[in-house]
Amino acid sequence: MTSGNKTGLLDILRRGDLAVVGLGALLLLVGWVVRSSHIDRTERHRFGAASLVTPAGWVSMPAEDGRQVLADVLVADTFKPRVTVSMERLPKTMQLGGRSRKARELESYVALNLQSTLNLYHPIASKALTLAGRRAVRLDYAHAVNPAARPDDPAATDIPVAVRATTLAVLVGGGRLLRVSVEQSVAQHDRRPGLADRVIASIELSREVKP
Amino acid sequence: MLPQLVLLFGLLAYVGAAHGVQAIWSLGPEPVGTLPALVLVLVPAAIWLVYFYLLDRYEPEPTHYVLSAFLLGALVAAPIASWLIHDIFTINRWISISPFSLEHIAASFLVVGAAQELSKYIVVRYTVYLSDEFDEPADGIVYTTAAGIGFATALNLKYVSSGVLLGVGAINVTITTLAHACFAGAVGYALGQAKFTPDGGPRLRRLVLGLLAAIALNGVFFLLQDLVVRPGMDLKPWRGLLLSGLFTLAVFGAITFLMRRSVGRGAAAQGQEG
Repeated sequence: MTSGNKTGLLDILRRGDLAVVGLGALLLLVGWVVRSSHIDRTERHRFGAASLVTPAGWVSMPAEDGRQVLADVLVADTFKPRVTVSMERLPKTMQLGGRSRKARELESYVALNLQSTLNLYHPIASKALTLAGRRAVRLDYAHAVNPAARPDDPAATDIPVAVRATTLAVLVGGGRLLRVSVEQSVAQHDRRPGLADRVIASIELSREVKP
Repeated sequence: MLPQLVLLFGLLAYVGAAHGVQAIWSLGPEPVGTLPALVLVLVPAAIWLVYFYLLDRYEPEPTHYVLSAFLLGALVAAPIASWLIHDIFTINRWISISPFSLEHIAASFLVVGAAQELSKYIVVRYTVYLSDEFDEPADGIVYTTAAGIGFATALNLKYVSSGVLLGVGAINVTITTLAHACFAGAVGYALGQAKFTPDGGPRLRRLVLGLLAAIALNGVFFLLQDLVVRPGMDLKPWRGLLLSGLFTLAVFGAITFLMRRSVGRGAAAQGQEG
């Protein structure tokens, strides 16, 4: 080994070496500027008569039964945050009756439907409201999802993921019900608690949809 | 040369064994236990560590120094880079799904590349670089590759713990380990040269070019590798693996060449002194 490489504080502080760290920090700073210009970007998605806004980068996922699903696939969790939009025809009995009766019935209809299709459905809150003059109901709830189940292997099981969800159901005329659900794992909900509120608040219906 | 060939053969055997286990037990993309995960990431790490260590054949570095560099990469550089990328820059909240969009490319170089290579550079520059054991240009590559391998080991542990197909996982772990070793090796080559260059322009230029080269290589690799490791998507992992593998092999060839040249020059200088 050669000698004569005595090092100390002076060597650490050699200007050239600090400049190298400074260069790395400068690149990160430029990265921060890029981040700042992209982080809160949103995108509006159209679903026939309705449109809504999600954070940028959400992509369309394959879905069944005419539903349309947007998901944030970059989240590392097994259950990706998602928005599901569907349009369904209401049963004849739901299309009759007065307006006040409709509000209550709509609420129980949607709640019963969720209860029968979701695992461990747990209601948190519900509220009747109007969206651009149309009768609507908002339900906040939780349920459990089996993250291992896949279309090619529906029987696969894993520890269930607790999911926090919000569904907005809107009567859009012609006996049809527009349903928008925002779902994310409880862990993700803790990180982004306002996501469902923002998505729901961004829903717009086209003029062709009559109240 | 023979020991290196044996080590490379060992890597092939490791990848083959992972494929065999996956085929025999029909394993899906499931999270592996702690012990299998450790085996999955430590085997290629150990092989690459020994491989680069053996390249410095004339004056091998003390093993505990090399292991310290490995641990610094795993326990200091990797957590710092991960904290910067995921907690400070919250990259998953804004990076685009398309690997070739402008913000994805910017994030690859200016966030991932810069954070990872800067943290590797710092843990070597302000520890082992200052010791008397760092006494020839080739030592820069030996210590930084060790830090890079440690860095990759920490990343890989997180990767395999989230659930992977064993066969694809083993190849990806092998490539990632080699890639981070080689990127750090680019900085290490510059560090080794700079240590024996007087203060001034050339010294600064070497270090800056070394870091920029490592960041550029890391950024390209991130773009290619991103096609492999993104969870929960229907992507083509083999295409990503092939691209990142070929890219890594090219960088590996360059670093091995630089290492051999540094070692050769060091040996020649010692011969002249003798």
